[in-house]
Amino acid sequence: MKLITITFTVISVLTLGKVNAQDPPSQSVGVARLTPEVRTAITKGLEYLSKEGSQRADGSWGGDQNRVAETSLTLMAFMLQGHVPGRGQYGRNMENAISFLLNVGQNQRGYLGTPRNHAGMYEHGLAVLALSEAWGQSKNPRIKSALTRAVDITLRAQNREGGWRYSPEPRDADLSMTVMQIVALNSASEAGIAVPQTTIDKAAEYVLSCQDQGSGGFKYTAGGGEPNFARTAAGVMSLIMCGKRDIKATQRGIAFLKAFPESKFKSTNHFHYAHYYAVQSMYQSGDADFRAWYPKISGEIVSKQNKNDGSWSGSYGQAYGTSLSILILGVPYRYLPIYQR
Amino acid sequence: MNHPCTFKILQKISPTLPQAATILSLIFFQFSALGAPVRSSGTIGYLQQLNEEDWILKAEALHYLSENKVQEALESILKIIKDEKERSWIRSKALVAYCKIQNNQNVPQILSTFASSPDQVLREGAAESAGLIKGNAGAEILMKLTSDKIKPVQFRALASYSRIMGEKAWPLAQKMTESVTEEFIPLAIESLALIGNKDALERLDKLTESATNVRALIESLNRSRSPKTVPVLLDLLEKTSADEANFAYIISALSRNDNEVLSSSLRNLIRTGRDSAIFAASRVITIFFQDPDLGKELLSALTTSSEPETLEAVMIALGSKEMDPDSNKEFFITHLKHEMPEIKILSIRCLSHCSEANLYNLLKETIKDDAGSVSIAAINALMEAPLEDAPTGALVSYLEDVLVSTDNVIRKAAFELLGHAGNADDFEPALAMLGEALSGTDTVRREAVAEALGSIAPENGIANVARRQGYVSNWMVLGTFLNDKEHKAFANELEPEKNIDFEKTYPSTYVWALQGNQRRDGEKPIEREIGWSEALVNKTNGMLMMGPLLPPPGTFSIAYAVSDFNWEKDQELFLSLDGDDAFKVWLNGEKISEQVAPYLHRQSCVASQGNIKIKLKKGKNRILVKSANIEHEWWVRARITDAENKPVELF
Repeated sequence: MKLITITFTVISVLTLGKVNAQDPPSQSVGVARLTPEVRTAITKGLEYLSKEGSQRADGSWGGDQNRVAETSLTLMAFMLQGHVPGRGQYGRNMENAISFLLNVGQNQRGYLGTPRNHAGMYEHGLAVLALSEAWGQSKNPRIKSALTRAVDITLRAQNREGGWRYSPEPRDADLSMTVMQIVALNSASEAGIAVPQTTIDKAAEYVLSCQDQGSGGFKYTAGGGEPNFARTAAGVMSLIMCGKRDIKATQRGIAFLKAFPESKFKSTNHFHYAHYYAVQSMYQSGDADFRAWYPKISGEIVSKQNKNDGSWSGSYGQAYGTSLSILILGVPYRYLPIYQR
Repeated sequence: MNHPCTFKILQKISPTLPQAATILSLIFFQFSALGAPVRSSGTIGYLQQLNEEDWILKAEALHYLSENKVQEALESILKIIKDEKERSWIRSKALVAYCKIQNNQNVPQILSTFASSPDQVLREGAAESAGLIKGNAGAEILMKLTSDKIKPVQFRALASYSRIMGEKAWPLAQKMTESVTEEFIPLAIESLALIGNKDALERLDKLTESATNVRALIESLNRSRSPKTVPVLLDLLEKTSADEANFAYIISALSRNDNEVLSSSLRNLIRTGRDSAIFAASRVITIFFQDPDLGKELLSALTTSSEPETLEAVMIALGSKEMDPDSNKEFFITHLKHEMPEIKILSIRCLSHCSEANLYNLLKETIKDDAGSVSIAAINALMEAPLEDAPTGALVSYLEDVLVSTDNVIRKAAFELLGHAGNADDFEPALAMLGEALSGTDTVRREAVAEALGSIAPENGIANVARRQGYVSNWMVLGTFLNDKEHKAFANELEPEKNIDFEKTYPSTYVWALQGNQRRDGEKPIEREIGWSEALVNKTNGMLMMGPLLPPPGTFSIAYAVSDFNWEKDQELFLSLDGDDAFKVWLNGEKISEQVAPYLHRQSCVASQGNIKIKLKKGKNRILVKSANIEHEWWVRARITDAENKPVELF
């Protein structure tokens, strides 16, 4: 996988140069067509994230509550288009972001959640994901040791049912947090950090226990809550990450997503969160599903962009909305290891 | 000492802060900023507790602060020592705590004052405290106190004197302990243990035998902290029943000793070969001293033992993971054939801790043991064994005896094991062996067998298991049509009820509504074309789960299920129906049942009707079910039985 990452990175640098030079009217990347509108939207979004004053002096983005999360997402947004830490247009932004995340970990014995954020494990998972994706691209030698410590914390925080929740301790569990950790652990494992298979198996068991047998959607916890689009997208994505794409439960989840009415698709709760997982689920589901899905969501995202400054509004601020919008739009680039099949 | 000042400043600048926060700040400034060591966790509370009126709280604080050597407590403790209005006992304990914390060669002036006090309690305090002075600075005072006018002071002084003088105290101790009354035996023993020469230990043994207050004796030995007391403690342990409170007390005293001393003393104890000694050593090993080398000693010693209790204790000791149970595997295997079920069970447990043991091979005979408890233990152990050790495809014959056992508990455990360790290769043999239970009238057995078979069944095997129990298992299904919370569409006749044509498709509408919400006004229904599809029952309990068979989300929905089957003759039988949330059923075009369960949000809403008398005709018969759902679970089930309640298998 490391080789693939590096290969894609090299290709991306070359390709970007070509794109900028020639600006073809549309570009086919992977199975979906990146229209000029989508490419422009991504470029404007990245410019917004890199403009002066957007990134703090310590390398972070976002407000005080969720800085780790917003920084992690933003870092991934840059990597998504093939930008490399320490080099090129956004190299310094990315290197500073990595340093910020590493410093958070260093100050908290490996834990990457923002201090006093009660749902810090979300941030911890996102940071593990971002650093894993950055590993191999950045020359920063501290990434691996930070990842190792962070993953160790994640492993120890898995509860008896196989899930995770808000704080880094093995108490209770919910689907959303569990999915975040599965995605992070999967990425860390791809980056070469040891993750026991039993951890992944138990986590998949927990996700499966959250499936609603009636509808095939996924609930917030094994014992309660109702299925909805966002949770189902997350549940499906995590099962695919656990190597269970072809089991009945995953296929029922995909059917649930595909049957979700278009009228609600555009205004679903937790819009960015839901579509971040949904678009990846559809990508992993197969070419036909992705071809049908991507134009719908990319059109919707592009229409929501703030035309003045290139940002997107999000539930947790502009950096959150902008970076997640880019991550949704940019799936066809496939420069991030997590976006590869 | 600037902490009171810091505390006041902090209180002034943050008067609104809770006290706890202020204390935390104090700790931070005092110890982090100044680089001093961090306090023990309860220090602040115990420092405050010194000012309590209650003598118990005060004594507790003195104990804690002295054990943790809290230097900053010295000033407050000295105040207590000097407070003439305070109880003598507390002042005496305060002096002991002061000397313990001070931990140097200085003899406090107040100690000399106490030593010459007319108050006996204060003199006793002086006698105890002087033994805590480093070096032999307290020896002179102690020597005087050994000649005190009362015995408690004399013996307390002797114990302290022995603590600082060691063997040099023997001449004095020899004289004083020659004849000791019961009351002073514990202090005499403490002195002798501290002196520790051969003569002293011999006398100690003698005194131990005559002691009746065993608890006080153990306390004395424990207080001496002398490694030479280990054999004495082990000797006491051997004589003490495991049910007595003193047993735990001795174990606790032993656990404070050095590993090397313990190991050597335990070895000597085991080598005596006495059953009681082996038993005592085994318990020590089990409770806190896991040493595989001692395990070998235990095994050798067992050759001379005949007591089952000893064998049991040894097995418990050897079976723990820390004792390298693999090295004793043969010993455990041998005892699988022991005459006592308890020993067999222990062997099974010990073997289950061996990483290199294939339990399926080892327990092949044991699982059939005449004693049910042994069988159950073997099955339970196999439930924990690696699945790759299970005999693939041959599990049913391996479990044959227990699967057909007359003991319900064993049978149930065996079914669970079959379901746990079996796979699709075991399904047909299992069905052949247990199929009879599926068509029997014993509901408990039938359901247990069905569940086990369901766990190992290949995909098409589930319906087979259901069919054998009389459940209608082959269906054609059609859905979904739009329903509502009042089941209006359920009440109305829809197109499929008028004429069933499996080739036909039907326009249907549905509204995407989750969370049990009635569809919102203005929500645009979604159109789709639906057709019939084949479906097999997907649970061994006969349930046809509608959700996985039909398009999502399945809320506010109606669906149809049709089963066509041939029957050999005209016959009266009985049909039992149930489903979630509502159903209507027709047999050969005639409506025979309609049931609607009251709606409960996010809960099962099961409607049922049992033992409906039906008449099947020779040739083709048709059951049509109209099933309705509001939200949550959605399923239907139909079972046909004869007059004797035996299931009828449809074909």
